[in-house]
Amino acid sequence: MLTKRIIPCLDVDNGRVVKGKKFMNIQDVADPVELGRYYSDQGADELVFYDITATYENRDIFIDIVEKVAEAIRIPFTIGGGISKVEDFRRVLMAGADKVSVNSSAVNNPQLIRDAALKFGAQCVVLSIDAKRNGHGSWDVYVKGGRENTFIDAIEWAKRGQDLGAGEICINSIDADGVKKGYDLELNKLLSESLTIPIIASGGAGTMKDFADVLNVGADAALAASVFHYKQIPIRDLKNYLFNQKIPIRKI
Amino acid sequence: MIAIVDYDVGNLKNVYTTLGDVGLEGVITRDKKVLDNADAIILPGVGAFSDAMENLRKYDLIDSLESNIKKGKTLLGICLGMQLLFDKSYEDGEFQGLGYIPGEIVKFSAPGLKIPHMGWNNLIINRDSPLVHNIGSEDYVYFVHSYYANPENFDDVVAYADYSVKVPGIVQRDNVIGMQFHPEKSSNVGLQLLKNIKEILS
Repeated sequence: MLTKRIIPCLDVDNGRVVKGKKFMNIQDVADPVELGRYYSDQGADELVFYDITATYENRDIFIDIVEKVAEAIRIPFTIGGGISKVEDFRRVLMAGADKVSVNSSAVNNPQLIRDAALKFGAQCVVLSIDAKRNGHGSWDVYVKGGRENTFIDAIEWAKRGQDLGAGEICINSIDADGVKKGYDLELNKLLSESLTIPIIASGGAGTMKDFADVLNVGADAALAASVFHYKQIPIRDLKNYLFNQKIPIRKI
Repeated sequence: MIAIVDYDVGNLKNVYTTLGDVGLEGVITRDKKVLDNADAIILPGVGAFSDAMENLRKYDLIDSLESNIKKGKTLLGICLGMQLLFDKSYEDGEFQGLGYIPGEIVKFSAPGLKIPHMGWNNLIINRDSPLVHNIGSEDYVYFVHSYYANPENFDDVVAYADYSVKVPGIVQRDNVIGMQFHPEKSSNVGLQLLKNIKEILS
């Protein structure tokens, strides 16, 4: 049976992981490779590395990290951040990444999704959407790290992304993000019913039950950062919990 | 030495690195002499079926694969590389494959099914084989594909996964082997499967 996926997300700045200081068993918690290996051993199903480096010059450091992660880790991983051209896809895929996530750049240039899917296959194109409730019963797409409203309907944008060739949608709820009161269940349910490609829920995880709830409304994977980094929820415990909740999960 | 066929179908380094984990030496190549001298050949691949076949033709590799298989050399196709082993595919048209295993590549089509089949699914053993030594039904491997193999003889399937249909995960006909999932991305289970290949070769 296909299992639901648990995906830790690591923010990387200048080659170091930001956040996460409470790990006991590993030497260097800021080393993306060490932390990635730790999560993989704990039973993470995939990893996401998000490049938050501001300057273009430091891109090479990040590519170097991608190569090191690919050498060290035997589970799939996605790279996001700073991807705006087909050439950017090529660079990180050749460095060993399995998937590439695009966000604002795809809003600016939707053709990027199609071009990348045709060139590298739909399976490696993840469309990441930052969505916020608008007060009219729907969600708007935001860009530039959630600062700018595009007034594009999030569900419509996700459908268009699917039609353009995205292999997966990562839906990040701005309202839920960082609040730790659970994923936006309504958004994830609606999206899951509207799409035929898999969905990764993002933003809002605070308890193990939050993961169960969003996976039960149709999300295929659940992504989280701080609950894992601060060891509030060990992945191994989470997977045992989900398994006991009768959610299909890969136990290790 | 294991030849990993380089025919412009994505990054091959991950396959190369993972072979190293189980003590197999890989060489990424499209040199026919290297293929002829290799102990086994791996045909990896992601992307579209027709492009991959086109590239095999462009680099004039089909005869070389054929002659090596006839000599009894082990060929392992991974993901799209497995699909190429069959007679034909209906991915965006109708295209001839290598024809080593009778059957066709068809699209998932069950109502409400998420496509691609993406993520970790468990292998169900269909017939005993050294390929699945130490592999049980609680062992998960990483799949990502929208088309699957529909073999003429289900006996060619060593293990399958359940996703609306029985999805062939490991196929084998004599010395031709295919894995639909990515062993190089399937953690310890993937390593066990590659160790099994190593045992078969030794």
